[in-house]
Amino acid sequence: MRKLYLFICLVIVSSPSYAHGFSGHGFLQSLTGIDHLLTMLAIGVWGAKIGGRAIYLVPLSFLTILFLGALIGLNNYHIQNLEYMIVISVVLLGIVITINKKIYIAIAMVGSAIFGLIHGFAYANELSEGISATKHITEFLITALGLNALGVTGALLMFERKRGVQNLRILGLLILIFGTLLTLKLILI
Amino acid sequence: MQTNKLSTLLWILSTLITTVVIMFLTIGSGLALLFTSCLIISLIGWLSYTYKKPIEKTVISGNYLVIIVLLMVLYTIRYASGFSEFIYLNYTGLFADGLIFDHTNWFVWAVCLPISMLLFGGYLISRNYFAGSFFVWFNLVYATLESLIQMYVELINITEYNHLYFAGILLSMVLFYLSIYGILRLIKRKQATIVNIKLTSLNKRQKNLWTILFASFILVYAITLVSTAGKLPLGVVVGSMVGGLIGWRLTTANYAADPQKFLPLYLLLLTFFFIHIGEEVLTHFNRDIAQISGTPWSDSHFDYLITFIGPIVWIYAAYSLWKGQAFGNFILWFMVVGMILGEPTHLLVFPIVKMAKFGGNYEYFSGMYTALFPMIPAIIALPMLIRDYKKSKTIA
Repeated sequence: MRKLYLFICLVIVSSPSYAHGFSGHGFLQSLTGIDHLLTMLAIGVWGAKIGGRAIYLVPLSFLTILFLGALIGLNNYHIQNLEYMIVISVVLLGIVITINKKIYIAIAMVGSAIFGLIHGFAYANELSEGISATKHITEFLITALGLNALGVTGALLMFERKRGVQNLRILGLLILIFGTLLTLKLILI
Repeated sequence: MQTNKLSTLLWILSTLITTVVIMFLTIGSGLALLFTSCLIISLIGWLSYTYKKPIEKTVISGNYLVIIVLLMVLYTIRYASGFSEFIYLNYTGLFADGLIFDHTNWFVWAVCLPISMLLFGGYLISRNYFAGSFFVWFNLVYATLESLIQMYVELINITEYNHLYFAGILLSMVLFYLSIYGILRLIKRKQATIVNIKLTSLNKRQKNLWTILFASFILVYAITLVSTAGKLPLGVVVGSMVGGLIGWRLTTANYAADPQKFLPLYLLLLTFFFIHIGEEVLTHFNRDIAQISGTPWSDSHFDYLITFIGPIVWIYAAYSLWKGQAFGNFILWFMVVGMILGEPTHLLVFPIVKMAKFGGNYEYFSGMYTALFPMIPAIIALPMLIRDYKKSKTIA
């Protein structure tokens, strides 16, 4: 397991992890931007950690509001300090995965909906010229769905192992540290 | 001295000395010096400590593979921070006169060559060949020297170098620790304890969860590929992944593949495949594909996805396969199917599509010369996988 953590950390640091993607549009943004990537995965992990219906309700709430957020963003609405909100969403998701407190499904759904709104806005704002909005939204929704599913199944598989809960909390801690680094980078630069 | 041992020693010496000479004449003294130092230290270690009593594969295979993965991660970081350009501009004396040390040259000589060698070394170790012991030394010494070079370059050029959060230094420290620890273990070798890898079979729930995980991974990878490279490579890669998933689900998901049998084949496959990637980089596969598919595929996207992140995953899968995990077993199937279905397209599909689109004769297409070699271990592995599954099922 320790080697897996090391592997995850190293793949993250080895990726060209400029917080908002080195290039690409649509679904590529959620892969090339480490903040988006971690959020998508962490939403799935959070749902799996709560368990029961949260396994599908938390990602579903995220995806629905992600879609709505993108639609609103496409209509020229803007949110101030969007970049900060995105990196803070990574920090908060790191915290909820790390802490060992029971969180109600409804609260988790509201939380993931807020994160979805922020990321949906960001996707809409990053739409490149000459790219169809429908294609753009479809692309990132598919990627988000895939990454949410990776997060859920990855976490559920972790629970199958001995010390799965502890390992998941360590993973949450890694997300928290990385989110904090991204926030500091945004503040300092 | 036994004849077979002497023969191995002579083969190793002649091959590596020739490589160093070619390197010196083509690239310059820098890389040649690195390889020469590595060769000399490895030879001393090998002859002094492990020549008479070779190392057992069960003791070293796991760590050996982890070090190759870490080296690949280090090269990815170097690529992201412009290491090769930096070295070329600041240490000109290390390069041959008139040489333009671009990304292609760097990848072929400083990434593809050592990684292919180490993967082949892994094959020798996992087959318990005598030469394998030499490669254990080579692996550890090479990783030590590379980590020292990384630390030196970053620390000496603290303001000029693009440090990327000092990820290179942090990784070098891990690599240095692991390789020195490995060397010390080889020097102070006692009676080796044989570690038997316990192969556990998945229950139904685990099997389903892994299936969803792999299917999600395929989905994400597929849409990334279609965006960056177009539909033509998508059909090949995703077709292989789906084929691999079906194969895994039907066979090794139930009874994990025996690493003693399949790790050597997988490592041989990776060796050939990495050489093939080297040819693709050398001849700009992405540009050839972009020409026939009409979708631009940038050099940096191709480099990250195909030459760095991909191989990190494939080589890590070798470690996972060694441990008998589901991930390694799935990637084994994917690579076997991928090599059999995907690689012939370099000869049978891409050049013909090019002919149909632009006219002209059947001519070279990037990656063509080395495309069929990874198929050899894949073709050998496929019936073995099926036969082994049937055998395990009968026993169970």
